[in-house]
Amino acid sequence: MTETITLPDIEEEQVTRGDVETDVPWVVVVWDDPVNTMSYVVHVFQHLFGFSRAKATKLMLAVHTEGKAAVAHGTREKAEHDVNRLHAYGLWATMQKDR
Amino acid sequence: MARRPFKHHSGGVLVRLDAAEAEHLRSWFDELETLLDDPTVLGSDVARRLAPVAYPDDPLAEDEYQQLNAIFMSEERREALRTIRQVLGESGEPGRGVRAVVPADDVEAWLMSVNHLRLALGTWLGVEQNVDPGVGPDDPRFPHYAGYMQLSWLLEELLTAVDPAAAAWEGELDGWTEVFDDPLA
Repeated sequence: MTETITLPDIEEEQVTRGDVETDVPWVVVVWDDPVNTMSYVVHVFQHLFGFSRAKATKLMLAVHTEGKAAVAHGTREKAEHDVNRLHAYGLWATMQKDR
Repeated sequence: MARRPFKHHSGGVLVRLDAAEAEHLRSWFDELETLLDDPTVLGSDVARRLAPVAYPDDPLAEDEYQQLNAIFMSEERREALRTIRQVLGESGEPGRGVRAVVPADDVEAWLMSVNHLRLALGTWLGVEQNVDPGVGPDDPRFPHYAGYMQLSWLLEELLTAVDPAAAAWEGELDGWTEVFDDPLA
């Protein structure tokens, strides 16, 4: 596992939850890791964010093939809560200001 | 072929373990408790992986997050362990099998706990994607590797029981209750 993290450029909105504001300052990024299984990550996305199986699978594949994916946007408090939940499930997640 | 320990059930998952299987699973959750008592028992790399960075750009915010998170996460994981043991019982009940329906919300505690231990072992082993770690029976890391593979199977069995339609991994392990050396010893 690398010690240095290079943050991604989040250029396009990848989350379509109805309660996500369009002008929010924080984004939650999930990073690829070699241990968590694809099926587990799909389950976590569905369970935590209420995503459909198709959407959860699409995001999981983005994480797997591109190395990371933005999975949620929101206020700092909401982003920290989401990151905390993802950490509780063992996923490698960070948060950053949306640019 | 090993009988599946978890089965989909309306409102949750049916856990069905004979006495030996139940005792073996209890031993895994004892290992998890050891890890919760001392997250560094498998080394600092594993401890760091189990408590990932949240704020890579902001050291002050990260310190605050880790301090609060360490307390919160530890208690949450211990609560998950208590939830599991309400069904599974404590170690040292070798004659007791288990047949019980675990509600869907409680199944999350099982998933998180199995994955937590699997993540610790996988990180310790240096597992890489699509790379055979090449750990044979004569390798000193074999007990950890065998445990990692067994937990991988249990995790997929749980996921399959939660959502049978999503089952994508059909691997089976014969004799999954075979006793391996204590990986955290």
